[in-house]
Amino acid sequence: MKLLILDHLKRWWWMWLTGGVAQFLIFASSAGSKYPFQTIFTTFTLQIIYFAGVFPLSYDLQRGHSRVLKTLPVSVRQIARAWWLVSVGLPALLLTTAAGLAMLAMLVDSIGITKGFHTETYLAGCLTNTLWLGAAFFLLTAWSGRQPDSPAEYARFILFCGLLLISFIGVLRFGSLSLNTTKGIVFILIAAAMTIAGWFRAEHLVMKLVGVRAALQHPRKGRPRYKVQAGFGGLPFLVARIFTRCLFLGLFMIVTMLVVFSAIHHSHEQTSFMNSVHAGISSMGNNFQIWWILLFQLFPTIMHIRFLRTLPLSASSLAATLVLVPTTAIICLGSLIAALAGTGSASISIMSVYLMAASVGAVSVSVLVWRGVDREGMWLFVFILFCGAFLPMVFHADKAPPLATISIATLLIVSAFEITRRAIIRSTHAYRVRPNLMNAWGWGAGRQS
Amino acid sequence: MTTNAIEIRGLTKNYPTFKLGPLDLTVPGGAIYGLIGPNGAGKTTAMDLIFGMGCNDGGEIRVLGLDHRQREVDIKRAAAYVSPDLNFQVWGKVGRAVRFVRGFYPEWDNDYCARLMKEFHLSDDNKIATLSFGARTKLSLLLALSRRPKVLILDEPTTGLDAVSKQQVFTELLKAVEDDERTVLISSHGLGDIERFTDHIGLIKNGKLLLEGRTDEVVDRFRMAEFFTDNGARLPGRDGLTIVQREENRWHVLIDQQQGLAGWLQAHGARQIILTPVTLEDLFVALVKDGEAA
Repeated sequence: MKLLILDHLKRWWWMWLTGGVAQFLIFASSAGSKYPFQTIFTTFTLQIIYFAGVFPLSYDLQRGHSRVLKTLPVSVRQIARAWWLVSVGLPALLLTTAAGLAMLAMLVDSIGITKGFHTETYLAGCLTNTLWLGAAFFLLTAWSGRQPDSPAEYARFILFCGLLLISFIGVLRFGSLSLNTTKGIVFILIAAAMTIAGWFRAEHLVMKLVGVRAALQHPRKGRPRYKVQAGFGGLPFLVARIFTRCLFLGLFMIVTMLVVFSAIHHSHEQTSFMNSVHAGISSMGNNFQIWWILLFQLFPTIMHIRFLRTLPLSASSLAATLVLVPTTAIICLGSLIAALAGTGSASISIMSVYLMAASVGAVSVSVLVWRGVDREGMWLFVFILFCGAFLPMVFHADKAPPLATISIATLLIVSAFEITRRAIIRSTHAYRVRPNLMNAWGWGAGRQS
Repeated sequence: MTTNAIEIRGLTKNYPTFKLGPLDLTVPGGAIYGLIGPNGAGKTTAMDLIFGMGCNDGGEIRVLGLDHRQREVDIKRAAAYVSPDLNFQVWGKVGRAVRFVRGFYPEWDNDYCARLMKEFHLSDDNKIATLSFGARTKLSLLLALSRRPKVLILDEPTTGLDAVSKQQVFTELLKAVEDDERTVLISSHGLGDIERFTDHIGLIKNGKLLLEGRTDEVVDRFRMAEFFTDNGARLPGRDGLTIVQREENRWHVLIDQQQGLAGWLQAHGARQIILTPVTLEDLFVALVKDGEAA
């Protein structure tokens, strides 16, 4: 187990170091604030938790890490414990230490900051970090491992997505909760339960990954059907599939956000339905949608680009399918919500936010096709999404005229289309790199031998 | 079919660590052409470029007389590509993948598809994620064959297949070309299969074509020569001569009979020369190891 942890540390030390430094800076910058959660637990904390916690492990798993580990003389329990420790225990320790150093630094007059040490802030922050690291790990173990294709699997998938989204939002909106309120305690208890459950579910995660191959050998039940049923296919099928999935996933996330935000805001103020929507969107909710749409719908399609390229589709058609279809779906989603918001600045604001988010999604698709899903491509993709997260804020209706938003979004989308088209023709990254993203989970597009 | 199905002229593609070409390759119409070579020789790169997966830095590719860039869609309508790297898991089930691909090809043969599904033991409702590696390759092959392509390009299609499945694959390939209108370009490391089933071969190494021609003629052109020399004797390098093994004064060399090397060997002190026919595998190993063994 020690060797597994050391191996993880050797490969991901820079990620932990970055997370630690970021945690230090966030705590240092928010010291002295009476309500630090309002400023601390923003998207940045979520990103630190994710990238210092489960991301390295999930990235390893996607590259077939588990298949290597299972050939080594270590027990399932040892692997499981090592995974939990490197994803929850040690990052929590690291973030706690970084936050502690930041708080101590506040006491030093020589660096010119004398905002004081808020023990409550420190403890609450560390507790939250730890619990959400644990919750994220639990959700990793709960991931079904396959693309859903039956009602039961869809139900499981939706439950998983819902829990993950709630946990994300829980981190984001934790600041508006008080530890003394019932809701605050409930959130803490849920996260604590997930953290503890994650420790025990870790073995299940290992076994699940080990058992994937064995499950393949199970004989089929029932009579085989050799005649393929009628149904439309080809490009319309691909377009319809991408569009409907992006749209419905977005809608699902909106509904979930509504439920969560309504619940959170209810205790503080009487808010209308649309206020909750607006709160969700303006607090990065739209970016989560783009992330998820890309992650769950577009990633698998883009990873099959090698196959799509063998079909009688021109580069322009393929680029349009990959860039414009999801973009249109996101814009349609925004239009729908804007329509619900009625007329006036709220609807324009929502539309602007979705338009910019769609253009960020389009740019990230072009990056994926251009660079493939190798390590550099992935980081570039993540970087663009992070930078793009600010665009909707900048081009908020209150701050920028709608015409400027529309012009910039159009420019970005058209550029993304052209880059994608050229990348499909000229770049070999997307074809040559054999991604094993989610390979161990059954979605992989890479060679699995 | 009398014209060439695939013509590659002066094809080059540069990567930071590998350079393909200049490559000239001719696949006659109606032939089963085996492209062989060691790992990393450039087989997959060449096949990818035919299908526009990447852009060649130089040279041209013509498939059925059509330029592969200008008539990309027409070529892909007439050609199919099979590779273990192709994956259809995003479509969930076998039936959905079939329906998706079928939509692109008006000439899709439903009956043939059903027959292949039965032979390959694939069912409409099979989950692609739970198919074995071999079954996924069969699915890839099924999707390619059912569209009745004029040109079939297969990149290591027998990887992961058992002996029976391999036999099935090659049987279907032979059926596919029996009307003399279809062409198969296949790369494989199963040299026995290549020798048995292909009528043309090309041997590629380090991005360059070493040999090309009819399989029987290429194999028949070479002989393994075993002979003795005086102790310490050395043989000067010469085109068509590949030293396979040397034990003291006993030599095993591969000779190209077109170069008239038997007399040349005698002139350089070789005694008791025994010439034996070679298999494609012997030829492959000798030529690929050439330079490493010397």
